[in-house]
Amino acid sequence: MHSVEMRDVTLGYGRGVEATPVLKQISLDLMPGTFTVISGPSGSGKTSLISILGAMIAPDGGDVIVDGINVTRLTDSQRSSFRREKIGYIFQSFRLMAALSAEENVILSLEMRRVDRRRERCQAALETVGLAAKAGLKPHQMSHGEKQRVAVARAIAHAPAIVLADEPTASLDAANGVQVTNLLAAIARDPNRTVAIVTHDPRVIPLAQRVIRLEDGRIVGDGQ
Amino acid sequence: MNGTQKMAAVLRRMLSPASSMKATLAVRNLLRSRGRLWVSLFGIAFATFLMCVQGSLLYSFTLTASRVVDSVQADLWMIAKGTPTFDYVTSISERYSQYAEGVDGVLDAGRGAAGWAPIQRPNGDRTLVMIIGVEDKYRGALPPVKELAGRGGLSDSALVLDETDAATLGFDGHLQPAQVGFRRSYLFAKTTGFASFIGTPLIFSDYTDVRRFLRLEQTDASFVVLNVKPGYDPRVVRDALRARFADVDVWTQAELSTRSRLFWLIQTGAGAALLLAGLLGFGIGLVLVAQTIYSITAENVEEYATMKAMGASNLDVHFVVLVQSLVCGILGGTLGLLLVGPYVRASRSIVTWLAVPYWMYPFVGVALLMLCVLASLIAARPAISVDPGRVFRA
Repeated sequence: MHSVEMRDVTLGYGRGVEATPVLKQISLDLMPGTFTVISGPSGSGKTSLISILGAMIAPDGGDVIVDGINVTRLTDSQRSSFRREKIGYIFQSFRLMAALSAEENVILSLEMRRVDRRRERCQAALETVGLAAKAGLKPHQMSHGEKQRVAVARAIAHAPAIVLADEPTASLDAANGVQVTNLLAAIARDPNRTVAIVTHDPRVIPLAQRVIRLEDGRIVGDGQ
Repeated sequence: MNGTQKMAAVLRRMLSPASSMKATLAVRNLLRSRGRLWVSLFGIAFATFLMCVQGSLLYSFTLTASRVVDSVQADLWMIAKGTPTFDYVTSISERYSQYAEGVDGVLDAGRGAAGWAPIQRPNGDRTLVMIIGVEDKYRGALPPVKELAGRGGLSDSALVLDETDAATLGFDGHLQPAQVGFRRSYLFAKTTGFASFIGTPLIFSDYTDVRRFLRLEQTDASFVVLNVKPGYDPRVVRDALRARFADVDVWTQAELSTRSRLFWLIQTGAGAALLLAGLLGFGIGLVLVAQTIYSITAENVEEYATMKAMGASNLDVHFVVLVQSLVCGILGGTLGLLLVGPYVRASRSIVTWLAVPYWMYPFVGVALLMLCVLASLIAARPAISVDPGRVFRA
């Protein structure tokens, strides 16, 4: 069972009188097999929270424990290694390598993660997102929805314990938004995987099993 | 198919599915910035060409500077004290050749004469030449003047010149009277391999004739050459000669050769200029590769941020930048090296002694690889230092 625990996490930007607190004493647990949505207005600290969860940045205080590992105490190099092994990311702006095809984007991710049987894994991931037939297309030859599905395939190809998504539907039209949300919800059904997405897209909320609401750097709501 | 497409096709074949996807990404990103790539390739080609040609000039210059010394068949040389190079020899007593034979380890000793003298053609044109003659036993690889003169029916005063100086001295291959040091002589044969690097023709003649042309005293020679007995170390014999004859310099053949090279290379500044130009080529190449790769890296910094967010190590990032740098270096370097041969052949009419040694190509190739690695270390900085957290902000 993979679990993510945040204990009394604080984060601020700037120093002295200009210091701006972004996250204030956040504590939460994320359990595998649950499709968790982190929601809230702009400036509420969603992106900062997911950045800490994803081991991109270290908090000013508190602990983030994943599988018994306190991520806040890792060095830069150990954090890179942690991200490589444990996490799959999906970004709002897809962030695919423009020069590579869908298949190559997934393989590159697997290569960096030192995963073997890359072609097989890539094929399986692209089939999961329904894009096996478009493996050879480059990002500029695909729709926004297809690009985001490739990004999902890239995020899950190495079977990470945690999948984090930042506004995955923000750049998509209604139909594609629903398709990607359903995909993420399906991925979250894996009992060994923790899936959390940051969004304020109302289309996503009904599919969530848990919604954590942030406001002004604090959790103001946490419901099923 | 244009040049860029051909290049892309070759690179694609190189980067087959078995190859690293990071390398594929590196090359594709490089090809996306084609304008920048072409500028870089031409710059690297020029820098490589410059390194190779300047290196060859330097090498050929050093060889040419000591060509006569290296051609003489001798283990040791005795010359006037303080003489910086063979080209500036002045007279010493020829008796040193007899005295030297009394030193333990000396097998035999002979004499040579060399110096600067004007040569005057029948039409009155006068040119300064360096005239050289060594006793026949020690001639080694110098032109066999006596033998050639005998075959041509000349008993004395025969002159042999390098073919590259024939036009300067108006020699068309047929016997031609001339005056050296205002004494009658005959240009009658051409040789090769003794092109002058300072523009003053080298003329070879019999030792006794050279002495006459240079108006040396009966008891003088320009230098004494010696061979040591089998089993003797020339350096040991040299030390014995130095101990015995304090008023002349005694050098081994290799020492005098090096001394002559270093004189022209360092003391005249000619070699330093060539060396500097070679280093400048390296510098230009480094700046061009680093600048191009740096720009391409900066252009793709968001992709590097994504890679780092996904857990790419600094080594992964360095690898991508290094591949780009090496591709630039290999393509540009090959282009530059391909131009060297035709250029050197074409420029032989001006720089007659210029030659590219076979090892110059791999030497420049290795220097270029070092340059690429160095350039990639500089260019990778924006990618290494990018904050992976920006992926959630952009």
